[in-house]
Amino acid sequence: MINVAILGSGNIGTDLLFKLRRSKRLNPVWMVGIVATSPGLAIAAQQGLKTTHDGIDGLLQHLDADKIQVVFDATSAKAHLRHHELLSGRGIRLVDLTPAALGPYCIPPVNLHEHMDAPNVNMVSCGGQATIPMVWAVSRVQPVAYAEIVATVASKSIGPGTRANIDEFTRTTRAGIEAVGGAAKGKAIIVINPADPPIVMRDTIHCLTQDVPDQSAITDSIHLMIESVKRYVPGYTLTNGPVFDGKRVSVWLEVAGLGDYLPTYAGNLDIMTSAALATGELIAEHLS
Amino acid sequence: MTSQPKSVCIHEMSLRDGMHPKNHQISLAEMVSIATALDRAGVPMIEVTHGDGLGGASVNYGFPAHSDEEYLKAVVPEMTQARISALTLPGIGTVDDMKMAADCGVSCFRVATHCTEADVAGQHISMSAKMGIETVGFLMMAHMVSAEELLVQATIMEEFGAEVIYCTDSAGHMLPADVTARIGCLRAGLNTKTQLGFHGHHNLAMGVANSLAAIDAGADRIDASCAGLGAGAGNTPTEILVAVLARLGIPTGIDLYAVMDIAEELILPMMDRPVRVDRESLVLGYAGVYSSFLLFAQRAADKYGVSARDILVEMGRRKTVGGQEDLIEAVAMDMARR
Repeated sequence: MINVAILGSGNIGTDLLFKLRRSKRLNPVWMVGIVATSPGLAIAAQQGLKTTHDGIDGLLQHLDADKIQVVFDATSAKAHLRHHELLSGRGIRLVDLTPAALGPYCIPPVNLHEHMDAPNVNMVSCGGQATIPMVWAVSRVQPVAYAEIVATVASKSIGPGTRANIDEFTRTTRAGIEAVGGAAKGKAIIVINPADPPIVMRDTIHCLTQDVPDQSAITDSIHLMIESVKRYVPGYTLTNGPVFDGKRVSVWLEVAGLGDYLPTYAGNLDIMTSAALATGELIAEHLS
Repeated sequence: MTSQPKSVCIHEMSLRDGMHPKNHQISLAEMVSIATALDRAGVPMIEVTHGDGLGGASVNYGFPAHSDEEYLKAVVPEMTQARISALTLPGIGTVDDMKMAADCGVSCFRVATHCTEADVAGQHISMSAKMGIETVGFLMMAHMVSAEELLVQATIMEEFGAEVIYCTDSAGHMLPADVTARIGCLRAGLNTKTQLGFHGHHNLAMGVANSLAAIDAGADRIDASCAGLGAGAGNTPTEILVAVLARLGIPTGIDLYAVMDIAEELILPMMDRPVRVDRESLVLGYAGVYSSFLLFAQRAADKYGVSARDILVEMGRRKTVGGQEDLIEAVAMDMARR
């Protein structure tokens, strides 16, 4: 077992804690917050983790004694810059769930093995985790000139951090569509829906192929990729498509979460924590 | 109706909302000739962007004939008195798009969110306000919340730096009493310096009546479009509103005959189809569905052999909001399978 710490005791950090507790390779030892009354810290303490509300400064002195080798950062892009500076010099591997993106983008079913030695890997965005596997499923068959994704998420699943900087989602996801998805040009759109009961995350992926799409090869590739994602996000479901219309290939998905700490509708957050877990587990395998 | 001595600012929508019924294919020459005619007619504000705002160019909403930058660069320098505004929807357009529009010389940004999601507009509203450009907070689908809830969201936008707050009837679902309640509540609750606006759609033929209700309840600005060119059954027709306001003695500064001529001679000949209350646009208003869904539903209905009206009603039942055009084809496929 590899000992790990979680930075950030909000929804993402706490949901990740539930998943880490089930892991056979990763052992969550520390949960780090900045608010003493954070419910996430209370849950972590109940589950036997060590906790601090002094942020990264409360963790640093314990890193060696507690043999922390991997740190998951579920704070903010700004905080991550400092965390990276303090931790990477000490040989600790960072899995970054913020939009800071200091390290390479990691989308587990696409490029998980490529960056196993990187000191810092970034999980792109919720919309990126949900849609980039589909862009790649097309671009691994034939060149994609343009890929566009529309992520529709429940209002209740979007926290204050994302709301205050929605452009970070748009930019980071677009960059991931190009860098990992393999599209020559990318575009990302996010729509927030306040319906009650909350809607399950929906994603639409449109790819414009350079040449006429090979329908059967693309259809097979998409179905294979759905199965790959389902291995770590069982609620990842193809609802419609692929539809072929000239050079357009369109796919519609629903992403239901596991309902660990966040409700099942919040598939957008669950796919981030599940992807981070899969990444952390592979890093652990390499380390041990 | 009590008569209002104060003037009302008309904000022309034909070159932005009017992009929807044109599939975003208005040519640069059309943009410039209509904008210059509006400018000469004394229309004080004109919006120019993709129908879905800056960055709307996409598979999801349609690729326009020209980029936002090309449209703005063609129109802005030709204006003698009219101010050009740009719409942006956070989640689609970014602050980078706004910087481009500012460089093109727009003098007003309208930052639009769904009526419950004002807090995603913080970056965009505050950047616009910091640049010293007039900033409007545009709360869409405002029929979906109560007047009191709308005020809470309007206050968030006001705190970010919005100087004008709009109650936006994106679905053309409101009746005059709904407008009176919302504008009245905003007027009572917001800073007295904050101006109010109303954006209507004519899906229930309430565009003019709702605009009058808004003015009566304290609105300073009204969105309208020559010949109604806009999504769904169109916006409040500018020429009718200007005539009605003239009858009420409310100054607009607009030459009535000039906007009549623009509607008749420039806009009508440009329409790909009549923009009117037909059974599909009527159902938008009746069911409270985002007006821009109209053409997408008609195309999906043709492709999958289902009824456009049924698609729109299903979009309403699923409580969709502006921007969810991607769901329309999926809904049509679901219906075709049944």
